[in-house]
Amino acid sequence: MGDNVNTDVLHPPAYFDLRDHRVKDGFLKNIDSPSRRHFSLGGAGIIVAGKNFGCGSSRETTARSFKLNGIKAVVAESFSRIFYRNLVNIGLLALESPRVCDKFNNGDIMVIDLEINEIRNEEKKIRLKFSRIDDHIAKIIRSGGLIGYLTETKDSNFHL
Amino acid sequence: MTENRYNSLTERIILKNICPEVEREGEYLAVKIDLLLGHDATIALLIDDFRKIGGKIWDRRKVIFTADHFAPPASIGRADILKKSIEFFRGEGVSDYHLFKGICHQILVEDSRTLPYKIIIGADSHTVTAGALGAFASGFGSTDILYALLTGKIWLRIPRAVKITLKGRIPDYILGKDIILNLIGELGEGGANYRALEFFDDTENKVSMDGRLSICNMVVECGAKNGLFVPDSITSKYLKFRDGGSVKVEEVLPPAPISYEKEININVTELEPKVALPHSPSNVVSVSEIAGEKIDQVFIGSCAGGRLEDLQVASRILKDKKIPSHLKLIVIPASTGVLKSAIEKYYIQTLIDAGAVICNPSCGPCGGIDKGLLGEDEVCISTSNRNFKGRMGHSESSVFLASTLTAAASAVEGRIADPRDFIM
Repeated sequence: MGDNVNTDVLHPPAYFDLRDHRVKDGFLKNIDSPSRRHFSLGGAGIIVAGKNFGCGSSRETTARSFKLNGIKAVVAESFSRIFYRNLVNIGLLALESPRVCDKFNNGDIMVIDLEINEIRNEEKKIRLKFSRIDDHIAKIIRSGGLIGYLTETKDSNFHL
Repeated sequence: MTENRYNSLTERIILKNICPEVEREGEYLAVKIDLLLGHDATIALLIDDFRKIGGKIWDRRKVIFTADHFAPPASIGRADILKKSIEFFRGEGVSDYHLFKGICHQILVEDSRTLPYKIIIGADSHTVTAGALGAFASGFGSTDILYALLTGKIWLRIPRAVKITLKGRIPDYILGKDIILNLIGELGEGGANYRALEFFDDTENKVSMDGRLSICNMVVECGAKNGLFVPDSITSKYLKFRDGGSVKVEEVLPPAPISYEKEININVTELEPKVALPHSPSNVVSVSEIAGEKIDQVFIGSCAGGRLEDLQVASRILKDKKIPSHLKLIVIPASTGVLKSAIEKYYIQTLIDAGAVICNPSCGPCGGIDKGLLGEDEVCISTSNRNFKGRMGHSESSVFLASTLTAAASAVEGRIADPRDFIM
């Protein structure tokens, strides 16, 4: 997906719901067909996008629809701030890599190497770097999301 | 500790509120929250996890809960969501929640706890609106808000800051909305990504507080983390009017040299009324370029354009006029306070006489919720803040964003119209 893909096309407000099946259905509902068609064939667990991905609303249902549809990681040139936090907070991997959209196409296999901050397309011999994940974000991701982080870090203000 | 890189007001507000006992992690600091805002839709998403964890709200006096999205609910599903939220508000002892009293961002700025230099976070991207009062105000997703409700903290990075100085004399056909549309048009949707936008009002006649709220409301549309107006006489006047008595707007810290990442000067004297074309808030042109475009609906409302000033200018344009009989003019005041004042000042009656439909204070059609969704190929000019494809209804509908003056002028014509033709 290109630049400035907003939350209303990623997950239209009509699909805002507390029930997983409804949230799951709204995924990419207003995106142009080619990306969606490929996805429905059971392809990628990774979404690739351009700049300012996920701009617009703070609705967490957008990020949740990603997870419910089996997305494990999102790699974008840059993220809109609330969407980035929402992805990470529910345990998804969100990475920033310049021009990732140019180098990967639907159906490609992406290898994410967290040791050396690299993403690779082995077949096309492409190697790209992604921005180093902040320590705080890394902690959240390792805990499986913000709630896991909360219960693990035993905040002094918070009693279980 | 973090060195003061910029000494921007945003940075100083954040540093003033750091939790001293919590160590920094990477670039993130744990910051104490002064006020937390939530509404019926986004709070509903966190309730199950909240109950599973079994904690309590850290300080009920610092929480504002509203029901403004499903207000009142237009479907059974939405009624069920609202019911769940209300049960949660009451169950957690927040008995002063605002049921159908208006849009959360307007309720927030009408609340005496919303003050300059406070840290305000909200479960809605337009929480940034409150920055008009000189607070740090920013939006977050439901899980961040869940964390905040339980701990009273939020993890933040200090944003780089951009200085925006407004100079000149504001023409009477220009509102705050035109100023922010102009800025977003220049910067683009991600142009201020993660930045703090700090507005200095050096204009001769000063942007009104309603205009400042409109401006700060939309900083999120160019990617900003927060936007604020550096407190001045307009801020003091507003606070005095709202809270009574004399309110001293104090300095946060002694003055210090500030270095902004970028400085933008806007000469408002030369601004023309602006319109954002479908389907992006950054797709901005001067109204003269799009005047004449046929419309089916005019929406005056939302947290970007439903305040007393908006109703005042709309009724000024529409006084003794009748809109075309097929045109839908939907007016939604941002709060019951605004509605009552507008009734006292006869704005509501004037708008009704012109052909407007007045709805109860709520979000309405802005996010495609209710009170005026669009059908296939329908066109709306709106005082709201987003015109993404399909947001207000059918995926083949179109929304133009504009100031209330432009929207009201367009209502008279049944086509997008230049407010200067109605004022000069």
